[in-house]
Amino acid sequence: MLKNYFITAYRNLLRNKTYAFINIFGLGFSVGAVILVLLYIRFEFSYDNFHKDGDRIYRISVESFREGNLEYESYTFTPPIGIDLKQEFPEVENYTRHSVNKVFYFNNNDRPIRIGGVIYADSTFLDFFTFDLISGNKTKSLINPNEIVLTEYAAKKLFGKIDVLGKTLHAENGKEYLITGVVKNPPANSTIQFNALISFSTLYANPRYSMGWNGGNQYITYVKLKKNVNPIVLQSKFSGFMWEHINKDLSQYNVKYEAYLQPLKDIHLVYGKSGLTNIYFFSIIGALILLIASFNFINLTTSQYTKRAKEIAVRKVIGADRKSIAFQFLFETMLIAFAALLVGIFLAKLFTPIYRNLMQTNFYEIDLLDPAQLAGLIALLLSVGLIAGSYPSFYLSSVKVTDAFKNNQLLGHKRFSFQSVLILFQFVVSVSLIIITLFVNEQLSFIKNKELGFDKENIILLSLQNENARKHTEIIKERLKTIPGVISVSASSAAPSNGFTSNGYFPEGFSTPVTINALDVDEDFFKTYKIKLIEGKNFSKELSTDDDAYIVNEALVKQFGWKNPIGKTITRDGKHLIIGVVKDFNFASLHKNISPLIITNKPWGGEYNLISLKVKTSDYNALLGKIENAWKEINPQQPFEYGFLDWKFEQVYTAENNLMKLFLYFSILAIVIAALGLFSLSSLSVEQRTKEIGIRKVLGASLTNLAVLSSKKYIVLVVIANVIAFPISYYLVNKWLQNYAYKIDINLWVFIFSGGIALTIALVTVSFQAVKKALANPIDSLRSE
Amino acid sequence: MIKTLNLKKIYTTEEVETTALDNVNIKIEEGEFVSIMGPSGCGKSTLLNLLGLLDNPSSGEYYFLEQEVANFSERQRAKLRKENIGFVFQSFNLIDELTVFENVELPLLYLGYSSSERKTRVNEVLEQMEIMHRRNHFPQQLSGGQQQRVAVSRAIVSKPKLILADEPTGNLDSSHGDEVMNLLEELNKAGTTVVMVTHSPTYAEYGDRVIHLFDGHIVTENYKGGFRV
Repeated sequence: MLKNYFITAYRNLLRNKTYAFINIFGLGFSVGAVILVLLYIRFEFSYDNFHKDGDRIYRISVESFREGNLEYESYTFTPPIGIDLKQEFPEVENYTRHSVNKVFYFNNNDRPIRIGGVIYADSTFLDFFTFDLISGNKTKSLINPNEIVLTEYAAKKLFGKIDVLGKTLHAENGKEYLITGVVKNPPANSTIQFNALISFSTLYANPRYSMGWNGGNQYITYVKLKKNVNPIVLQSKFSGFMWEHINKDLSQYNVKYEAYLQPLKDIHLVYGKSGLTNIYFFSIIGALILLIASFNFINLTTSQYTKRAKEIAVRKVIGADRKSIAFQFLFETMLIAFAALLVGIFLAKLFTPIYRNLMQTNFYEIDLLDPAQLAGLIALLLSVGLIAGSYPSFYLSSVKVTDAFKNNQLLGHKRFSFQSVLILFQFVVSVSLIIITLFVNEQLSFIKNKELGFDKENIILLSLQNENARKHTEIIKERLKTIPGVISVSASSAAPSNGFTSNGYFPEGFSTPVTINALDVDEDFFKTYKIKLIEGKNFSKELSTDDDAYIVNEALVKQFGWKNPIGKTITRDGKHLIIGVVKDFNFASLHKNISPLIITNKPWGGEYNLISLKVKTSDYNALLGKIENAWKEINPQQPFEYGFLDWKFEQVYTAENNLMKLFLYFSILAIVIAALGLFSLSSLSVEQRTKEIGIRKVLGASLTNLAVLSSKKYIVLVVIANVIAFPISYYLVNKWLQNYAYKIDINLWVFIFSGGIALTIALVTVSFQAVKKALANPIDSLRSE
Repeated sequence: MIKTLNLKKIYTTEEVETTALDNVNIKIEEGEFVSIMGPSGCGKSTLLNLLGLLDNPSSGEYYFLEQEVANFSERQRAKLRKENIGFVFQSFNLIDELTVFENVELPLLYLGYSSSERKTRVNEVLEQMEIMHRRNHFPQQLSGGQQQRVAVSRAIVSKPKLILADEPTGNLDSSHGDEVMNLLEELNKAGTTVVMVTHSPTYAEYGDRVIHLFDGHIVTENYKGGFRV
């Protein structure tokens, strides 16, 4: 019997090629989109699941409270917390720590090679986590100071091979590191990413680093609990622990830290950047696209009723019951869904690089040999088949033999309401997606062009990454100033784009510290960035007292309610006089309002991190060549790398830009699928009305009359869809815009424009067939009946 | 084989109620050949649909093979149909996507015959109907007469007790019409009960009895051997 069903389905599809094409490719495109979303979701959920004992590993995170209010939350903290946790809680089996990422320059044949992602890691690190060691010893590789374990990537970059155990690496800072191991590159689904591990004991050997409870907050600590330990119970004991070690001392400032445990497996999704939000978001989009395509299928299949009615009736007459007819059509749907799945797999494979790039994750490739993926695809096939096939098979199997023989179109007109609801849904989704895409685009271009309070154009950034560069900043600056086309050169701790670091300060009149953003700059900074000084004066090289002076922004003056800020003081490691106030400028992303800022003339450790050059040239290549030559003269140890400030700004909004592109692609997909459905539906409807069109034409109807006649029903539906989509998209756009401190107004024209697009597409699609029919000789229409 | 008591069929639409059959009492014995005649809209096809269990009556009783079936569910009717009744239509009603062989094979598929049984039986019938040479053709590739022979083949392939033919010659020229009538006559002689709706008085004469319908009522029943009002 299945063979018979297969033959019937196959020959039917061959006979109705347009219908088959739209169904298979409409479903195929949406299945492709869903496959990509599923691969992405699976990858996101797979984060950190490769570690042995992963369910017993927790990251220590710390919440910082000031006067009882939560100030911030961070998983980087001071080094001793892990040691003391293990010592004081028998529930803790072991701990391990690593630093935040660093950049190193290693010399190879006197050529500096940059290796990013270098972290200091405890000797327990390799045994604690499951990173595959190629050579070396898990427990002995990172014990002594200046020992280094390279990843395959770093070993190949430095030596061109991985057989490097026992070799010595010379760092640009003059230090030597002994290679004690080579490890495979961390998998893409690992939260902890690194290119090289340097023994944590190296830090203890350097007096520059403060490794106590009051030390640098840049170390990440993990603990492994003993089996059957309840983390909640353990965590409840941390309050006393933190009091003893740190909060007791901080209580005079009304500051306290609370530590808690973050399960390793939740780190990426629950505590990471927008992990879960993206998953929810793309699941919804994927489901909507799948529904739109399934609704097309439902509408097209039920509309094919007139063509299949006779067959169904015949089958019933010769003995088929309703169940077997329903099964036959479900089987047919499954066949189409299977073809769509093949198309979807092909498309997913084709679009994987683009989607990976937009999502900025290296998620899995489609792999039919992977049992989990295969099971997922079969589940997808069954769900598509059931969603798309249930109603048509129920509907078609209910056909009454006597009706089918008597009048082929009897049931055709009763369908209006259900079919209409499906079309309505498709257009509500499509119009909403268009509206949201347009607003996201508008907001992003608003951000791009917003006046920031400084000039971000034509600024080249040079990072001072090695010690030599940091020690000779002044010489580099002076050399760069001599290059024609360089207008101004400034050194600073950072450039405005994604916020500055913050510290605790005691502004005049305050007895508890306040966390304020800080930036260290030289006297040329305001000129280079065209930042306006509105009160007081700039730092001066000539006045050594300016070294300790502060310049603040308007937001700070406003926050502390100072009428005459010049001459006030702010205390941190001594008193600092305020000598100037600058106009507010956006130094962080436009998600945030401008917060108070202290600008100092005294960088930490006496060294700046960055040089900014304001340039004016018509030949960037020539200018960059000259800058590179100057750089190499003074600092040959660090390869010349430059960036533009605009690029940094672009990076801040990369996620949004990619989101916008994805929205655009999904909107196009949704509207194309919906339009395809409308096209074939209206073609069928025109086909059914061939005789009517012929008669009307004979009686004098114009082309417009006929186009209106055929399109009216669908156009009304699209208009209703607009009315429904407007408030939905208004709500969603408004909610999204709340993430921004600086945002566009929600303009009515965007709604009207989007509605117009949908309406035009619908009108062109629907009237195409009617016009074609109307242009034909009327007698052809009549004869065909 | 067939017995109806006050069989009534009313079609109701939003505006009108139409009585298609009104208190029809009919009795057909096994092995009979009955012709039904009457003007368009008199209820001939409705009666055939009820007798063929394609529809349920609005009221009245219907005994098929001694069983009251008037209120049978669609599932029960489908079972009775496939086991006992073969249909022949004026417009042949072959499935366009299936070949001659596949069309004829279809009832056997629903009856659950094995592949080899189906092959043997279909080939037998196609030979009998002299259409074997066209077994791999699609319906559109056949003449009207050939299509009707395929339809008859399909109707008899499962050896039904009853054949219901709704104007089987309506779309055929006289020579092909005669051919189909001869086939039905042969089947009847072999023991199959035949009930046929026709507009043609000549072909009606093939029946042992001609029932005349008018406005949903039986007006006359004309036996070969006599006349009864």
